[in-house]
Amino acid sequence: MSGGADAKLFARGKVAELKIELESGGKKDKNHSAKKIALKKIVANMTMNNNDMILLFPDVLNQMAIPSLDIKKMCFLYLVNYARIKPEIALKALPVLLNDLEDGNPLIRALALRTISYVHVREFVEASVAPTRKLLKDNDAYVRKTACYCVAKLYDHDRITVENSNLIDLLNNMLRDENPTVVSSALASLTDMWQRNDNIKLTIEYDSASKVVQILPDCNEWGQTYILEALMNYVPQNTNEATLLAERIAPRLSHTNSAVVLTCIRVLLYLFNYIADSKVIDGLCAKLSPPLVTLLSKGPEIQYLALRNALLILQRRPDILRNDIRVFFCKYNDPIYVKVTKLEIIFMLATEKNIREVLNELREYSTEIDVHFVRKSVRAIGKLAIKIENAAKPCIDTLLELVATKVTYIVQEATVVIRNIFRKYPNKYESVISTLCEHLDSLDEPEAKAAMVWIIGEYADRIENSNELLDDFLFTFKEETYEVQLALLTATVKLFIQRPTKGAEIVQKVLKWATEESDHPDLRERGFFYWRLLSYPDTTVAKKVVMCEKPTITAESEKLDAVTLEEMCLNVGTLATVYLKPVQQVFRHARPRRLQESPALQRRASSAQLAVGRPGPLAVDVNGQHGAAVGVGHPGQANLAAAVDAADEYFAGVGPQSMANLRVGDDNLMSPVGGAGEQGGMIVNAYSPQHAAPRGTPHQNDDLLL
Amino acid sequence: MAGAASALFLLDIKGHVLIWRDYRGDVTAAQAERFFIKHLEKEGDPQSQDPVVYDNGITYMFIQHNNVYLMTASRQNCNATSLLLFLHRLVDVFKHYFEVLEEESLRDNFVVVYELLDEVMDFGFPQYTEGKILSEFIKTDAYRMEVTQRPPMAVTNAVSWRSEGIRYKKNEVFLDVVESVNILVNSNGQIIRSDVVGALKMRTYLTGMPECKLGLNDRILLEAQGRAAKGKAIDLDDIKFHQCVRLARFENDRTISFIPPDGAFDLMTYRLSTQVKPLIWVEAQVEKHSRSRIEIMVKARSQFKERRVVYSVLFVSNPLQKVDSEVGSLFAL
Repeated sequence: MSGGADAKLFARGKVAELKIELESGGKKDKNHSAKKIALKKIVANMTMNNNDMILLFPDVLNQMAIPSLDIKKMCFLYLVNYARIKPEIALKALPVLLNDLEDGNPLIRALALRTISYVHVREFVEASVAPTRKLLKDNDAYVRKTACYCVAKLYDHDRITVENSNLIDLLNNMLRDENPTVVSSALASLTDMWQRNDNIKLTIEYDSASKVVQILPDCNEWGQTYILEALMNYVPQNTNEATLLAERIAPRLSHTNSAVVLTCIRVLLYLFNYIADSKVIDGLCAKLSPPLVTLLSKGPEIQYLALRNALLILQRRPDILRNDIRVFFCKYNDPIYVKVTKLEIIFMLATEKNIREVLNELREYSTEIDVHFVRKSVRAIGKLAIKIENAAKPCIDTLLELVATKVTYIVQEATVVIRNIFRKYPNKYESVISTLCEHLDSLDEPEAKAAMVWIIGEYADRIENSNELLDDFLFTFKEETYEVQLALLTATVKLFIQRPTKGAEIVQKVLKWATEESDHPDLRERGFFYWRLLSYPDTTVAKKVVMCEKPTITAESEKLDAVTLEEMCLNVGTLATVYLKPVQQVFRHARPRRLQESPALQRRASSAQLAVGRPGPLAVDVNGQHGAAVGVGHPGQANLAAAVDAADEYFAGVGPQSMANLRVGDDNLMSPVGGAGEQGGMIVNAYSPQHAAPRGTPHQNDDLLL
Repeated sequence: MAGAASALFLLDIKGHVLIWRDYRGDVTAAQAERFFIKHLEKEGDPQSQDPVVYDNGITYMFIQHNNVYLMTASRQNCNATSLLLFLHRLVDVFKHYFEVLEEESLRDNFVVVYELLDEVMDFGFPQYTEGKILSEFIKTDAYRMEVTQRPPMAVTNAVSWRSEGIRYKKNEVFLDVVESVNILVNSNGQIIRSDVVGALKMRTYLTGMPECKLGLNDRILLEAQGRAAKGKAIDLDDIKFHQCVRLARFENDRTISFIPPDGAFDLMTYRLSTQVKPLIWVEAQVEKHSRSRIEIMVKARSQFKERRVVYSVLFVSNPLQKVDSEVGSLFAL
């Protein structure tokens, strides 16, 4: 088709001139071509945000009645654009629109209906109720389809008016329409309203579900997604129903439209919850894998969405992609957002069996040019060591190879993850410390510094010159971030405890800095605490507290908790799966979707997991541990115990969750900092010195993983 | 969950709004433009940007085509795949109309663009994106005739991709198979993964509403018919069909039956993961002479049969893009 040449009309027009142009032409202007050009200029100016165009409102409305589709369309566009700013003038357009709703041409009827329902002005909304009712029964499917959406639009403008009319009932009746497109439009419209109001119930019985599945092939691709989405409101009452329906929609997986495919996967995953026979589920699951892999050969944007959803599906149904780890290996020209997501999936699919292959791959990623991606790859290697115990050795070897490259950001990242590996497997891989010590000078990021300092402190007795190394760090103590300062404080105390003669001098220096010169409350508090602890005559107490056994860390923290995972699986393909956060956290007004009760609903064997996922009991656990630590024999123990009791009484009225947190906070001030801080990552807490000591999960990892 | 776009934007390369269409009245153009310009400045290289960005309660999704960005804004948890794919379809529609989609062609045809935006999406829900059928009732100036009496049946019909009443004197069908081979090789020259993505491209010039059928030497089909597959059958990992193909029918008896659209289209695409020997094997050796001198030797060896001749072999050298001195030492081709 050939194009127009209207770019020249994008010149700032003057109202007075345009007004004259619009009125020109008269009877000689047979095809209204002069008017058309004037209108085009006005629309061009509107596009450029020339708000003077509002002044032409009455003049434009005068052209509306001209029987020319082009002119009408431009006038309608203008009307929709400016009606909210000048509602009183817009009203003049109403008679023309109402007249067009009766036009003999279905195109014009639909156009008028679409336009009238876009105008958010009370009179327009009220005036369009009756025509919508009528046009829902129009003899042209195109008009009926438009009317279906119109109901949702009116509902958006004015809920009460729609609820007081019988429009929703009529829309419901449209589900029996003979035309598939109309049915899918009615479903889209109903789901839209359902989503915005908790009072609207949308239940689909098996018969209706079966009927809409029947017409699925006769809808266009978008219509198919609306039907599939609506099926999420169907609650199977028995296993057979669910199985039958799942088998009937499965052919959609071969549709060329990726949205149809992903939405179909969503419905299938949903129906699985109601199918008792695991063989049936396995059979259907086997059909899900190939389409998911195929999505990875689409454009990068679609790939990205497919990958985000694969992350979910893998957690819920690990068998689906189990053997396909290679398809997730990055191509050199994948965009970075695709690479990063693939990395997360590779991490998830890594097992003892494929660890060699995975490490080779990750090692290559670690020498890519994108710094961000390299860091994540290094971090993934470290986390794999923690996730798979038998893989720890090869992981560390790979990390050391990478450290040997001497690229500063790789060394720093590796230092941080090796610290975590030490945490997980104490007294096992200390031989690598010397290699790390060779690269002290390249550390300039706080996190890496803190990690190295922690390692030195923890193994102070095994590192020959640990006091000198620490002293080197102390040289710049006052310029360091609090994170590093806290780490240094703890490390020097550990040094002193393990090697009293070598550490005596520097520990005094650091304690003095921390308590007298620092303006950071955590640092001072902790300084005071150590000071008192160390001045206690019985030195074994200090040793017991500071060098205590640390809670173990895991690499599984990136997994979604069961509740969120279940919700995410009901939202496959939607935006929430890109963010991987509970729907209402991102979309505050969204109506949450939950698995509905039914006799067919399968109980999950892993319901015990639910409890673990919740923070409540965990906080209490932590609390218990700390209590034990305090009992070691702190001087002010009796008083503190009394104070804690009093506090307990006071907070008895507060909800259990917040109380647990507060108590953890109290305890932290007097508990072994070396061990307590680590737990802090799990609980949001104002008091706990979170930056004090290495945490199990480094806090850059807020985004799910790595 | 259902949920729809609030607005659709066509933006220029710097992020300024060229044309936009408001569908729900809860996102303004100024808001979107401010976000997007800031986003472009912050992110730099547009190729590496995450296509889904959340800002201040609104989710923006965008794709780039030539010097134009197409972007949807939404406040609901909408079907992300659907909207992103819709943007791609929109590019096809615009290309069908203006041949090239770029800033100039959008401005030159802004009235038609507005009309299309009104038709392809209603209340933020994608409606109809068949360029060929759309152009039967939304026409550019050059082809414009007075009032079309009614929307083409195809818009709401079960056969939404073909108009009725098409006539040819000579009925012809052309079939092409185009395959592309994807191979992932690690730096040791080991093939990690290889697969083939193929498309069956069809071109039909047929009269009326023709019913077509196509057979494949697909292993599952042949075995079902009791014909032993003798080396000629293939295992297709995954098949995707154009919307004209009756999927349920294929599921039942592996027959591909369809009423084709008029003209060119991809009937099916497929993927098979097999060991493929690359036609041309490329090896690279990198030698670093000094901080500023690097020698790269690339060897290319053909691996196909002698009697075959290959045309238009194109070598793409990957220039050392965006490599700073620190990373330079690490860079491997």
